Amino acid sequence: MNEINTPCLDHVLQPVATAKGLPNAHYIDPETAGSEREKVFFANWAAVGFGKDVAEPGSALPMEFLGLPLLIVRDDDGTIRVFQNTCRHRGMILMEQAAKVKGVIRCPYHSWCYSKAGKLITTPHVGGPGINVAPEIKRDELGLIEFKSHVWNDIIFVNISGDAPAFEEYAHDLLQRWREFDQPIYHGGPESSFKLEVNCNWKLAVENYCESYHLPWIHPGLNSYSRLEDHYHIVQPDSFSGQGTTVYNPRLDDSGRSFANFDNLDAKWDTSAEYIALYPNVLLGIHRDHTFAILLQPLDHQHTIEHIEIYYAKKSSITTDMGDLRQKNAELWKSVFLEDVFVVEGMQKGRQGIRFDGGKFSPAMDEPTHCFHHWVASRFTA
Amino acid sequence: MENKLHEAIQRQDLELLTKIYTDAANASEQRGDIDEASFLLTQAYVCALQQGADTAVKLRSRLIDKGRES
Repeated sequence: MNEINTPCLDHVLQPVATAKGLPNAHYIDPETAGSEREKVFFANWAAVGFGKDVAEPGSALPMEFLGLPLLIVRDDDGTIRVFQNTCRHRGMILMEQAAKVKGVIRCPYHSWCYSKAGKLITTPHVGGPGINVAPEIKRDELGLIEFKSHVWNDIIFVNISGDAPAFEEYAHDLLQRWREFDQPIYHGGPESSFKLEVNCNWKLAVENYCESYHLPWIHPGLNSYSRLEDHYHIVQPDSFSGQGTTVYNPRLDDSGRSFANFDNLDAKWDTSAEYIALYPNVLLGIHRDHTFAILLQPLDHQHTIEHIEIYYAKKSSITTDMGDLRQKNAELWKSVFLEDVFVVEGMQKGRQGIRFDGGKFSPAMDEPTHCFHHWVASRFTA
Repeated sequence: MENKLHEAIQRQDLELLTKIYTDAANASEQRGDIDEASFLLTQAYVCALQQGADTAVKLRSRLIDKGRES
């Protein structure tokens, strides 16, 4: 590929007033995307799934994360574990479909069997027919490769490199900011789960999500009651950024029905809601009565799946008789997210502009976006 | 045995597979063919493990007794 502007991350690391955005290569160059896989995703805590999708002991969910085969399993104790989905014998993929594992995870090739906690249980005929042991086969050393994982608000995070600080430390500032919401949440069911496939680099979804500058133009309906001037920036260097609104006031139902709120929230949350991107790849929304998470799954450098899951503050909001209200809420969010699709896809197309220099930020409006670019650039220069 | 085995494999009937292999292992053991019995017990053991059946414990013990499992 020629004529891509030379990546100059020093420009990104300047203060917002003088900074430029990430160079085009970070959006259109597979080689740069390969470096990003290691430095941005594997070295940090990236979101790979939701606990609700491995709801019961034995639930197993194979998935591919930037080409890395993963197997998410809820073990018999209820602990969610994330394994490399690869047998320790000949490297066979262990599972290709989501399933309920009754007993062991059996490799379909030579039937090496692993417990749901990853322990190698048996190695049939490994020492010859009918001989399942051999001095060279040390089972204690041949369990499934397990990655560091952590579940927060039902989102499953993994640290593939294994050397990131503990999740609680990594996300400390956000956990503190939203500590009032550290309460049980309840998934809204099938109508509260949807996904969007977008033809863009995953970072464009983050950038668009964490700024409110585009609201009047892209979300005129939303802007009619939640105006640009009702929003505030949220910027936590090296961790997260986003936006908040001070006029959250859902009216989903003329009869006056509404979702129940979390307990003991500060009065601020009567009308406030916040939308934050926890770097690298999870977009969060929090309201007094519900939350949502958008997990960005990069398929490659120019294709992303947005997995959206909506959760409620109280069990009373997930009853059958509230189904129509949950449906309306999900449709409302889906319509907002769909309005963003042409923007993120348009920015992907625009990134083919060989003279584009990463872009000039508005110091007043683009600070959350710059914060994210700065974080990405810092992963490359650290 | 082969027809029954084929049918059970087709149906992915792990319980039936465990029984077929165990019965065959018992017959081999009675004949004194420990190698064949161990092979068949291993097949039964894997099927039992896969379905999370309690019989896996006993099958494992039989294999351990023969020095074939740990």
